[in-house]
Amino acid sequence: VRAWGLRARLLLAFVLLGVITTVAVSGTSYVLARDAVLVKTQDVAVVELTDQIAKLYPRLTLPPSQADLTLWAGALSDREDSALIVHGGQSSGNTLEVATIPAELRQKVASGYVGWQRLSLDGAPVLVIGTRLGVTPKNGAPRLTDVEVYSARSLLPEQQSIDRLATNAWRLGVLSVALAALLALLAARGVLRPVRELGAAAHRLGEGDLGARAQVGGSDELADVARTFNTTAESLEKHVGELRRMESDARRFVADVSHELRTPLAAMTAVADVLDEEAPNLSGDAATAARLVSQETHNLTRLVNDLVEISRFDSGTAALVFDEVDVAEVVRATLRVRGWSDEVQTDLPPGVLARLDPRRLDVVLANLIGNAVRHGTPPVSVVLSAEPDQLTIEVADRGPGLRPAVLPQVFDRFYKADGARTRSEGSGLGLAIAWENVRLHGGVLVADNRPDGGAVFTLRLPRRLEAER
Amino acid sequence: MRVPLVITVVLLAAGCGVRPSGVITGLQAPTVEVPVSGFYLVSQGKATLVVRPDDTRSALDLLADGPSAGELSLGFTTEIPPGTKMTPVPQGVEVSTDVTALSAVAVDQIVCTATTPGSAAVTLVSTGKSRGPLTCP
Repeated sequence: VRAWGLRARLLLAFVLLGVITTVAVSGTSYVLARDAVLVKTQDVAVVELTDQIAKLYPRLTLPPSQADLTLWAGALSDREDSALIVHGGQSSGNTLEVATIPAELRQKVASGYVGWQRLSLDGAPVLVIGTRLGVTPKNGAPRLTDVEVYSARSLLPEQQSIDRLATNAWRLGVLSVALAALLALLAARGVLRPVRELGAAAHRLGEGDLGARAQVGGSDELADVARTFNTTAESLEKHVGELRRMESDARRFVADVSHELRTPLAAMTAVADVLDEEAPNLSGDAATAARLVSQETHNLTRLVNDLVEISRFDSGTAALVFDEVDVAEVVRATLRVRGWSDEVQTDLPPGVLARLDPRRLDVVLANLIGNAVRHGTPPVSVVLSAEPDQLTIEVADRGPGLRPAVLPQVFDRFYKADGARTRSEGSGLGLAIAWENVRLHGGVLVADNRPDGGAVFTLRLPRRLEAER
Repeated sequence: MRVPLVITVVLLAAGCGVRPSGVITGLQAPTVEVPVSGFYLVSQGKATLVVRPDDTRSALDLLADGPSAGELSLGFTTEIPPGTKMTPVPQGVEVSTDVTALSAVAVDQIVCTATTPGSAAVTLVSTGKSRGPLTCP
């Protein structure tokens, strides 16, 4: 789960949209509803007050005494409203006080108009309405008197209903945000699932499963991508298959050619041997030619045998013939048969038993030791060491060693470590065959240079003794 | 992206509930219709309307009579000379004393008391003399 993945971005966008829409819609309707409630309440209160004032007549005496002011204040007050009458320096009221009335409102009232204002008294909203008292006597025109009438009314009920509006708006907001989040998650799932499937298919393809395909569903852009992916994977599978077929054709061709060459080569070897034996009796150039033919026939035979051997590895028909042997004995036999016993220093502890194919081990050792003897500088050493489950044979020489650039390719087929040596008695397949043999045993063959000079080939093989116990 | 949102929310939160307002202006002040006559006495040097809800005499008679004991105790006086008689005539009021000798406030008292919704101005006349036409301030 990524912090700023598709899911998070979709979620943020949807929630923001939900919040903005809700704030705009709920906020606007809240403000409109609140203003409507307040305006209606205020207008009703103003009308009620002016109606009450009009009914003052039987008690209306001008100039009013303090008792008259008290009388009027009582007449204009009821359960909801609390009146205050101000005349010059005198005033009368029960809860409302002159000091509470803002100067602005008094100024407005003094100018002859009805004025009102919402105040916050001790934290509670209060509406204060004020007006001067006008009188129209029977004989004259309307005349404003110096009497000011104020009336206060609590707006707590209105505040409560407005608070309910706000609560509802918040609830609606939370609900719409939750809904937006839900929709965002659904949308993200719709997008992310195909992406994840596509990713999994690409991963499988990368791991080498050329048959990996993405599921194509729908007709959106993602389906297009999946379709393109499938087409690409199909064409890749086709091309890789073709390459593999071509490679196996080539290998089979080499195997077939090598096999076909064996029979004529056997005949040629026989003839060449005869020629070789007769060479001392031949004169000059003929003798040289006879020896050359014999030599090259033997080289060719070895090359063809190596090719046949390696094509067996390629085709998987090479098999191990296991035998429990004393490894030191196998090494000694190899040295003895090749005639290297005197040239090679050995450290072969007795009693290292292992289950392996002695013929193939001989091939590997002959190749490694032969290379060391031919291309390295004496003394060549063969050291055997053993652990409970594996054995190690190190073949080392004191020559210049292998160039670092050569090391990774030293087991490649027909790879010549010595560039100047274009023609050699080796087929160029010796180390490749040795490597394949070791691999067949489940072992490892490593080429390296010793710190104090000289190449060292390290051969590690499993001993496979526990299988019998 | 987030700053305007926060500001909006803060503004909305601040705009919640019933807030104090400025002064809202309504209609002109209401008047109480009184079925009795009103007349003008002097209070703090100005002609001021006086209404006696249970006195049904005509306005000029009430003015000629002067302030009652209650009105006197509230600081109301008259500047009309005692014994002056006033009678309505078509152009205004006929006064039994010399109108040119009346003080300005006394003239206001008479003019305001005599002004009716139908009359634009009032002229005070006495034998051979007149003041006006005048209007109630």
